Amino acid sequence: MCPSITIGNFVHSDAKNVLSHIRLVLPVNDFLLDTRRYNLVSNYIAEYSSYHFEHKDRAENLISSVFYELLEYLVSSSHGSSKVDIRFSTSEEWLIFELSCKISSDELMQFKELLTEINQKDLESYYRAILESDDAATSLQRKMGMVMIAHDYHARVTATLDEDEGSTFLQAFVRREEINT
Amino acid sequence: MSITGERFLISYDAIDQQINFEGVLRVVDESDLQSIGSYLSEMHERLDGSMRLNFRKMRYINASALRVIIDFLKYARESGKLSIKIIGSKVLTWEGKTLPNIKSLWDKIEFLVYDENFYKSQRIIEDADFIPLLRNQTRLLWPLEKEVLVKHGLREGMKVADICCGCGDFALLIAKELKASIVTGIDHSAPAIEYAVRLQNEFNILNADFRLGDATALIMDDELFDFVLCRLSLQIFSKPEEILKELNRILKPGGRLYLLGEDYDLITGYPNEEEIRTVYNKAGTYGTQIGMDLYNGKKLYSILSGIRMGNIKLDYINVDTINSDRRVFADMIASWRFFSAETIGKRLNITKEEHDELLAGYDAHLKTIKNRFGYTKWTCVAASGEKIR
Repeated sequence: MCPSITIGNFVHSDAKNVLSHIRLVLPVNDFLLDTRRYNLVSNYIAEYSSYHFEHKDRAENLISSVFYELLEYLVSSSHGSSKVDIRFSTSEEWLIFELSCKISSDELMQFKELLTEINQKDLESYYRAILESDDAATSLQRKMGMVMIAHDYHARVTATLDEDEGSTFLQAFVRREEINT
Repeated sequence: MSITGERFLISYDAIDQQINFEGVLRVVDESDLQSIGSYLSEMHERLDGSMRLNFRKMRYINASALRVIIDFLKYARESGKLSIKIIGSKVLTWEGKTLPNIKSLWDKIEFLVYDENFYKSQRIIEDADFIPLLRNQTRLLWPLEKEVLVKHGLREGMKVADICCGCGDFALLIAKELKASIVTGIDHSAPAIEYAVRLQNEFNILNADFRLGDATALIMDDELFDFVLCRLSLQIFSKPEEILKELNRILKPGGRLYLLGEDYDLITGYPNEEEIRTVYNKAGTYGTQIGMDLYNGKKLYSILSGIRMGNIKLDYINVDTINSDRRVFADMIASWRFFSAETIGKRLNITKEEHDELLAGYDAHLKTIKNRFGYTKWTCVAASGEKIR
């Protein structure tokens, strides 16, 4: 059995032509100790990167909104002793959000299930079902942010998971035109 | 009746039966989320008819907090007691992406984009077509107004805000020539801000910053600026008190709020005196009908005293055919002619006769300007007041 699987088959042909790039590597424990850091880091990356865009306020708001949900979901599933590698880059067509970290095997299974649902289900009815659900279970609550990103921002979400090592590499691609629509 | 967190404030405005969300509502703690849910349910119980949820100043929200709001809306739906109005702004990206989806939960939820539904006359001055008119006005005003700004206290090194900055050329002139430490320009028109940023880049001006924004709900901290300008803009707001509150809020104690207004009663000229007065009386009336106040210059002193500004200064700025280039003056009047007869005229469905009379009146004014023996003036009123410490 191959321990490494990729969910989501989105291929970005122009991603090699990266126009701008920021990368942060931070201890997961920092976020677990003080959850305000999700907001702090999302806003930092967004503000730093916004100057590459003509409509910088709208770009900043979008980048921070997307990063926050990805970061909160993935980091809260991660080992406290590990580090999270956070990258944001842009190409002519795409905003590229990337996160990698190590997560527990239980969390990895849930994450795999969520990504499969996002990539295979009809997103409109899936989102609607989540909005309408009265299930107060934590798992459902946690799904909402990721599904919201895929639905509201038309993000293409893919991940490569290594089940043996528990490593996760998450990518979300949002079209630049989403900034102004 | 409010609920506060480290970065957010949720408060109740009784006049509009409105819950105002402000700041950053990224909440992780379960007890905080429950408090927000309880607050919304309690307010729901107290009200009758409708309840507004206003997100115009909510910079960010996370999925957990959104979930609480969705749960509240489902509770309201089940109760059936109130209709719900959700108010967002087109300035904040997340609001346009996420809030409209909530509407589908229940047909009694109405989604309003504040900027599009609340200003009667704003839309028509946000087109890119309006930019040449703004630039000609700046060409005429800047040489005279620059001195007035200094007289009213604008100094080198100040932090300046130009709210409703239009295409940004005035803000850039302040940055360049009066050497503010930073000039922040805010406007609600995307084409105007794009234009401003292009000019800024072209002129390599580093001490300016332009942002798309709503003047009545500025996403800015309190008491940030030494000098706040709002020029030729109060006149387009049907509720100027809303913008004044924001201008005052972002001004530092001891800083000055500077307003520039027009007064169509003060436009005059000779020859063609009667035609000139007639056309501006008509244009002023049409302006009033679409929600503009083209006579607000004379009201600025009262406006500033009304919001308890101290040390009020007031000056008339007379742009005339002696102190200005007649060709630029004529270009500006030609733009007004088009704007008044075509843009406003169409909006008001004026008759062909009224349309032709308007054009003839502006043509008479243009003749006066082009006549080297003719004289005309356009008067603006500059008023400023100090925020009491």
